[in-house]
Amino acid sequence: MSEYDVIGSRAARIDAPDKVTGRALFADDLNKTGQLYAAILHSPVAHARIKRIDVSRAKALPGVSDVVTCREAGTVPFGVSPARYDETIFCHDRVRYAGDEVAAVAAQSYEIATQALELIDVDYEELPAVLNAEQAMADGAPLVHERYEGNICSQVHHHFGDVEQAHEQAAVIVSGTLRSKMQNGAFIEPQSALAYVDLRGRLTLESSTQAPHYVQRTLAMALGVPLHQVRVKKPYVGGGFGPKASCGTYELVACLLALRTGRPVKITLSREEVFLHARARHEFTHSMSLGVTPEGEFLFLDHHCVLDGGAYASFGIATVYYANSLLGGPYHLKNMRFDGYRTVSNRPACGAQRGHGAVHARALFETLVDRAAREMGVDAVELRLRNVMETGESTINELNMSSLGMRECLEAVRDQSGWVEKRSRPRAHGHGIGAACGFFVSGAGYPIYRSKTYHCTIVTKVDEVGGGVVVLSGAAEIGQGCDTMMAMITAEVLGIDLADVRVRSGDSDLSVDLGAYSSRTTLMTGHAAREAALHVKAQILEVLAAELGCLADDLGFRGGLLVMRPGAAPVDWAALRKEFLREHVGFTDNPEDEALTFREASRIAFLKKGSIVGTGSYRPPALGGSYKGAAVGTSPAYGCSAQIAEVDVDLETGQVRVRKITGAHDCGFAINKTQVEGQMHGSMSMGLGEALFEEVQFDGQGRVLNPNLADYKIPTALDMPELDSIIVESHEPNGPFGAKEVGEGGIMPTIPAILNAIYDATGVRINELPVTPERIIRALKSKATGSSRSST
Amino acid sequence: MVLPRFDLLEPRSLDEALNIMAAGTAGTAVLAGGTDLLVAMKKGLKNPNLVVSLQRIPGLDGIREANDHIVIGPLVTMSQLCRSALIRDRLPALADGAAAVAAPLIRNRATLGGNLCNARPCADTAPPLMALGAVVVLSGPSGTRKVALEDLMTGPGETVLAVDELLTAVEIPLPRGASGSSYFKMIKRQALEITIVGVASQVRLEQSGGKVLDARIFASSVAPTPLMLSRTAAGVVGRSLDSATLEAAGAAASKEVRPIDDLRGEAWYRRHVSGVLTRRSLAEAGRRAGEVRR
Amino acid sequence: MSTHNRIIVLSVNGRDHEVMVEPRTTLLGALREGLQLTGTKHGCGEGDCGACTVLLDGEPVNSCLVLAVEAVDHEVVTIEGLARGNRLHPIQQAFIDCGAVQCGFCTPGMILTSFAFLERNPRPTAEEVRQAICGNLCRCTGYQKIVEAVLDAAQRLRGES
Repeated sequence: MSEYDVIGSRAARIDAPDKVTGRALFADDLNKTGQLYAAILHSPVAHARIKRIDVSRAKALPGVSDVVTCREAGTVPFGVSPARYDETIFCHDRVRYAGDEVAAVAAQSYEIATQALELIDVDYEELPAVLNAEQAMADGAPLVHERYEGNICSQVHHHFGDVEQAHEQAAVIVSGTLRSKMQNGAFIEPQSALAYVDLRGRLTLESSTQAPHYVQRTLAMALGVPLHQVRVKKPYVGGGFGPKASCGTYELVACLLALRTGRPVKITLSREEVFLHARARHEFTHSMSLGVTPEGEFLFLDHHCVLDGGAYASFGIATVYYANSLLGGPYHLKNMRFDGYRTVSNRPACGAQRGHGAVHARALFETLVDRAAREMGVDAVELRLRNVMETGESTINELNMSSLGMRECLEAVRDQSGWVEKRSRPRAHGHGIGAACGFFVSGAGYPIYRSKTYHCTIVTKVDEVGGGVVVLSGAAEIGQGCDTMMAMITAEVLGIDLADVRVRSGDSDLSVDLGAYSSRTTLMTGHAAREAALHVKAQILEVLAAELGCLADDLGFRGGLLVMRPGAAPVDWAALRKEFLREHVGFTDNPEDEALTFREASRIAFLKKGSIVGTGSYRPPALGGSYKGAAVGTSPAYGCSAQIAEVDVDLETGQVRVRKITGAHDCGFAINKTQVEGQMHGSMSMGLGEALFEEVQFDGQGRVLNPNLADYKIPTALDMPELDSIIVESHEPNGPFGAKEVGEGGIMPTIPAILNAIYDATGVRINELPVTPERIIRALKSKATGSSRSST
Repeated sequence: MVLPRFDLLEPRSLDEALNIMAAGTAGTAVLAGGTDLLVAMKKGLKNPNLVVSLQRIPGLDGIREANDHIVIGPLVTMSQLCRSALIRDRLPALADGAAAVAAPLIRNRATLGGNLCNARPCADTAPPLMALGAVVVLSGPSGTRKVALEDLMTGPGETVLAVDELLTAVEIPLPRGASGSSYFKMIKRQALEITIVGVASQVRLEQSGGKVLDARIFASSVAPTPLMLSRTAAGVVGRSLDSATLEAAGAAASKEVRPIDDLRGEAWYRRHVSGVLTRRSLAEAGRRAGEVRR
Repeated sequence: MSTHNRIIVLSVNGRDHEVMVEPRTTLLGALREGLQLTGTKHGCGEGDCGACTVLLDGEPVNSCLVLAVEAVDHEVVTIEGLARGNRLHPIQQAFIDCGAVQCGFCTPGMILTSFAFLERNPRPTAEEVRQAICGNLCRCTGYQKIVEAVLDAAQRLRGES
């Protein structure tokens, strides 16, 4: 018997009916009368000075309304973090990657716009390019940006405890490296936007974005439009996963052209352009040493990481911190040293993607744990259990685990998967089983720009006619389910049916919300939604209490009906019903319930008070230590996850099939159990894809070789195994109803669980992702010939 | 995203189609299922002035038995091949190949004629049909000619088809005696993949004793066109398909193939996997032949 | 037929519609732009993702790789054709009830592929469902709840739930 009526259930998503009928409108489904179509001219070369741009032939093409370059767009720098504003709408002096944006056209049709692009003449003077971190950091390497010395746009040097000294106490030291490649968000919906300006100068952008707020700010800043004259709203969004969390050139272009032409301007990226825009997973090279005491305690972590993020900083200043900060948990770790370097190169820029910088770092760490366990002759899950942190503890880098169900998650997957029994018997040929853990923030502790802003606010309004409630929020529903979450929390607090709560969201006009990134929405926006609903409830009950001659505390709603606090004296509400019925002569659905309905109560409240509006807001307390970069990784709460993967490796072809993943995730409290499981499954599928298939490939000139979904391979239904998901609830004190994140913590264990299972199956450690069949065969051959390198 | 402009004609008879082809120029393309042509056009790899659709020509989508042959029309889709009991029972390698193409959505449109005439080295129906000894019927204004399938393709995207010829039938001799065939492919994901290496084989075994009487083995994506592994095939004739024979065949195949490095796979790996798949294909073909024997 | 626009008649969701197309107009383009039926989505344009799935004579196909004129004299069913007014098809209801929808962009294609599959195979196994939908990519769900929804829909259609 649940203590709640609405939350904690498997309620259907409130937007599912629109989506299953095709009525849900996504950005490319939107059209406005008289709209123009925009297309962007991309640089064909990775690094070049722009000597001359001549747009005259393009302008002369019939059907072309406008052609713009840096001359028209201006050169106000922007980016993601104000400390690293290194982009302009169009390149003005140099192009920095093959795909960089040089000009754009607005025309009557998309076809005319693309034809016009071919009539834009650009003289490039090619410059030597650096195409990966090694080249970027080499002595004398050409600079991608003058301001980034040595092509390093951010670096971190942290030392907690004393790693050198700790070496002496370690019984076992395991070291290893992991290389990964640039990866892509590969959401099924390419970015698309529609911009228009009204006759009073207000600019509106409807865009497939995760972050209307950040887009609004960037548009205003880069285009020189007052902030309050810019409105950004999102329609339904077909997945984001990080790359849609910042303002893209295509959004700026649509707005610029709309401002100049006075007409609506629509732009939709081709799938190839999705890859050129990128802003997805960085390319990482991690080297780590993990020291373990004779008692099996994790003693020290020594970690060096170079991550390449392509031509612009984007989220990179945060990425390099995330590459280590989340290794301080979920285990006790006494000493940790990190040197991290985020380079720039002449390739598409990288940003944040599910799990941000922490995913591959966690992958290497968890494989080192596996190796340490084997060296010590200890079960890999047992070794982890020996080290897990408990609720209330803080990591060595001062991240506080206000709730942490890591032990419960590990035990749950160990038991559910049959780990002990499976590990105790000999494996079938090529079969293996591996485990791993991970955790993630429930919202970044600080906004991307320095500010004391609330991270989100909510305005919840009761229908003046009574009966329904609308939640107004800037939050971005991108498929993760936050609209439903806000509605469920509101319905729960008010004591009404979910069907009577509507949500209007994703619009910067409605409220402030930093957006859907860093897994913040349930904890932060949910908190604000709860507060707004409580505020509404208080106002209604205040009116009722006055009318009924009792205390507001004696009253409540349940199932849409007025209920009394147990022990409170009954009240006579007959007069209120009479008043309601008097107003509704002729209506055929007037209430006949044995109790006063919310419909009546909310109507009465309006009659007495006017419009009933509640507000809620959330801003985390000051978090984190006092060391430089302490902010990144801070969060009001941390979700955690454990997974056990079972694989079959074809030892002759090297093909890996994942047969099962058993996962447990501590989300604090599952507002909606089905949606929590869905997020777990989605994380597992991106993790599996990144482990086995996903890689953006480049030629020797820095051009993307596989900018399509045939050669950039995400898992199909036949690649994904059965997924067994267990929800653990540790009741997070800082979360609404105890809830915290699930969207990104769930991807952390997947890659290492698979890597550890592959080792279990084959005896080889693969230290380069993706784990292709070639890599497996090469490693097996090396092992067979007794080569000193046991991995590729 | 956008196709280039072209003229489209939809002839209602083969003669009409051939006349159009004869009058056309090198800038004419044939449209069957569209799953190759339209993608190539969107990528800018092909830009025909005129597209001739065969879809409204009746009689090109049949699967039938005639004169100890199975005759398949060029517009038969991959899905139809997969679903045909006749193909599954008598020409299992072809059913394997058709099922290997991409995914159901593509298979519902992709045609046999298109797969063969597109002549990609990775075409999934080509090695199976070659192993089965298929012959293609090419029709032109002046009549028809028959060409062994392995002689149809001359290079990636190149065939012996004249500009005024169409592939109008594929004829496969009904396997005799204790015959079995199979097709094995190497891919990364389990669907939507372009085959990295594919090996098809057909073997005919003695009725008793199980020694191989004849064998045909073809591999895809290891040469500019699907490659006949004649030395490998010769090496198994007269032997039974025991593990020693299969090992040797695998080793021979690895030597016989001529792969290159490309975006989808490295040459050394293709060489290695050719050996593995040859062994597996022969073993399965032998097993199926054994079932026929019994 | 020349390269220019002409009006063709397409039978979509049981009704005839006139729409202006060029030879190069895809069925996807004709549906989305010509007929404002935006439920069918453009994900990649090259047959790699399945977001553009429609039924052509009952068979699921990538509409981005079918020319609009090829669909003349054939039956096209889009996602808009499944529900009867506001009465959802059991498959649509199963997708809602089983949590098979997250961002919703792959959903129309996924549902149509499933619909056609269940017509052919009313008693599928989970593996057979995965085979059927392997050409429809989803980045959000990991397919688990989609498979559950299709199996659930099969039960509903058999009158068993």
